[in-house]
Amino acid sequence: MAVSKNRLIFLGITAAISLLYVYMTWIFSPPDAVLGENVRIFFQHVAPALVAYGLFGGTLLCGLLYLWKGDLKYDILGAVSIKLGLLFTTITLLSGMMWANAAWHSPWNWDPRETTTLILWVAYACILAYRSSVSDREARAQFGSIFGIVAFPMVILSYFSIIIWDTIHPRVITESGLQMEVEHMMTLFVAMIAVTMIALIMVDLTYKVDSAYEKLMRIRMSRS
Amino acid sequence: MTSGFSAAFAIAKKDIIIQFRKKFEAFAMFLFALIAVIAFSFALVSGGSIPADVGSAMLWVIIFFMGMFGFAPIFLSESETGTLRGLATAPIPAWAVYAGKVIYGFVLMGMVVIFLVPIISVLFGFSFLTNLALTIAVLIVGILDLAAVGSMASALTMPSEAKATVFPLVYFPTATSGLILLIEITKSIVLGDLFIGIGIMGPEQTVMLLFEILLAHLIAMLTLSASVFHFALSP
Amino acid sequence: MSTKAIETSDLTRRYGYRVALRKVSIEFSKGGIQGLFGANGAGKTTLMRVISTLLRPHGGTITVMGFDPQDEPEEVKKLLGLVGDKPLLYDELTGIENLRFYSKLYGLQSDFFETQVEELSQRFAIKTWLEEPVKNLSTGLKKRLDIVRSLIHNPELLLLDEPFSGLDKDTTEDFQEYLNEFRNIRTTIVTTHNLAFGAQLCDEFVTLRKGVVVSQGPISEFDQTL
Repeated sequence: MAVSKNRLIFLGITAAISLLYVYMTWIFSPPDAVLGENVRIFFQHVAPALVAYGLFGGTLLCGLLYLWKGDLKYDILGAVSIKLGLLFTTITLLSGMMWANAAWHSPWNWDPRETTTLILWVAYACILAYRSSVSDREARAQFGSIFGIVAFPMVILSYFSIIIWDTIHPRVITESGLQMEVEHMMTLFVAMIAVTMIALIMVDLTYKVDSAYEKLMRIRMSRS
Repeated sequence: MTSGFSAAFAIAKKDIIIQFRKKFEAFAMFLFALIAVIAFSFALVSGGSIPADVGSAMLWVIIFFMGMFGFAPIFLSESETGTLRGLATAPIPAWAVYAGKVIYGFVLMGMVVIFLVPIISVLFGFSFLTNLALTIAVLIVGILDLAAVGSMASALTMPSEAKATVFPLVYFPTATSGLILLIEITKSIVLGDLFIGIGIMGPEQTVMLLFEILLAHLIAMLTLSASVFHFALSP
Repeated sequence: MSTKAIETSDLTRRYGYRVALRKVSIEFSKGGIQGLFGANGAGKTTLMRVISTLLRPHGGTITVMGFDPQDEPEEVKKLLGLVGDKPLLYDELTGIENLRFYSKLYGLQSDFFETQVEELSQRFAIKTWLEEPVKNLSTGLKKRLDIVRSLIHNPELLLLDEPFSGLDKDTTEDFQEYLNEFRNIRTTIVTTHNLAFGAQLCDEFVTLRKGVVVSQGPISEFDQTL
């Protein structure tokens, strides 16, 4: 089975950048003045966080497109967005907790970003659970899209609500600034590119698998 | 076509009359609240009392959970008996059906909360009297906000195989942002002089800001839900 | 202005992975009583739901009394009356309260409403039961009240989904008589799986089987043995 030329090129570039990313994370970056070796977890945390929120935006977009056009492929993509979004949010939360533990000796501090990410995780999980409870494919797409669209601003607004909550309650643990060496900045930049590209590949692959599965179900149903 | 607002009010009125006759949801909500108060008291009471800001926050948490009893049946009952079809095929805009249900949800929750607030404020030991006007304003906006979220969540449970179980899953993520604001504003009221504002803003300015954000949140929720509602009514 | 009550072209609608209506192209003329025949699961209810704007087509086109139910749903809903298997009545309300509620949704003037209630409740023998909560009514009475509800706004197009199931003989004949009276001013579409009954009642017919049109035309062409 042939893979298209563009996909191969993309895969190649991703592989190269990923290797660069690993090198930079472990060898190129110097230990942080305050955190020591623990700084390396930072790079695995920021990029997945961006991807997690980005995929939630993707869910919103796919929901809108499905309601507008009625083509199931938008919903298949939306479902992929949710599943991978949950995965990346989990990675974000876990790596975040590791970093928080290293930096402030307490894995969870109810910082606005931490709390919003937790809410994001719950929102993703709820949408997923909701979708699995609707057996009619079209209804799942229709109502799942509505849920995704309504949930999006709510999660965004949570962020602002929490910021206010947070500002009113001065925190005991203040964020220790990372002395961002130039090497750290560069590594972070490369990390973001690498993780985003990996995420895109995952979205593409998962979409292909899910589409094929749906096609199979359709063929089976029309035969019976 | 019939005016959207008159249709919405007709639907709300119909549901209110039915609730007055059946009374079931209202009682269930009230009893749940009392049970929750007792359960929470075991967790929160130390030295015979609860800090005022914690108690008032629990009020909203309890109201939030009461929504499960009050809001879940809003569309569920119509969908199970089949009467939803009557609303969907009447020459009224889809948003009117949603608006009517939100009004009903607001009245239902409001009726229970009117009894609940004095009781809980005594049991949990806090007072709204420092700013009664703001309290009433927050209660109205807050309950309307939760009703808006709850009605939408109820509508979304219709195609699900496990309607009752799935309601909390849809309700909670969407209601959280409003809940946080409500708790914050209420705390400011009960803390009175003890409440400090944000940064350079004094307490009054902070509360006004919070209230404005809450209002914006309500309007955003209502307009968003009303716009997508017709996709839920005729899939 | 279309001369047809219903026109569909390659209408398609899916339920999950199953196709409920597959490229259905039919026509129903205005006026008279039209029949939609087919066994259970043939797609009759689905088609009725698409006509009444409850479901959006996944493919093809449909016009109802000249309007597209997706583009101009209010126009379609204004002239539509429907009766299905479940009565669209609220148990805790009385008959008259139910009717008054619907009259508000349809924007009926109060004198028009009063006349309609008077005539229809008399006609369908439910007048004495109007002040009774619906939950206390027998199935037959509920059905008759539901019929009155569907007619209260004097719809031009009446959709009846298996309307005669569960009705006693007297009510059935009475209802049939009523439908006949209004042949000229109203179009009625009836679904039924009872072909003999449908054949004697209807002017035109469409038969569906597994979501596909098997035959259609004036009732004179209807062959029960197919």
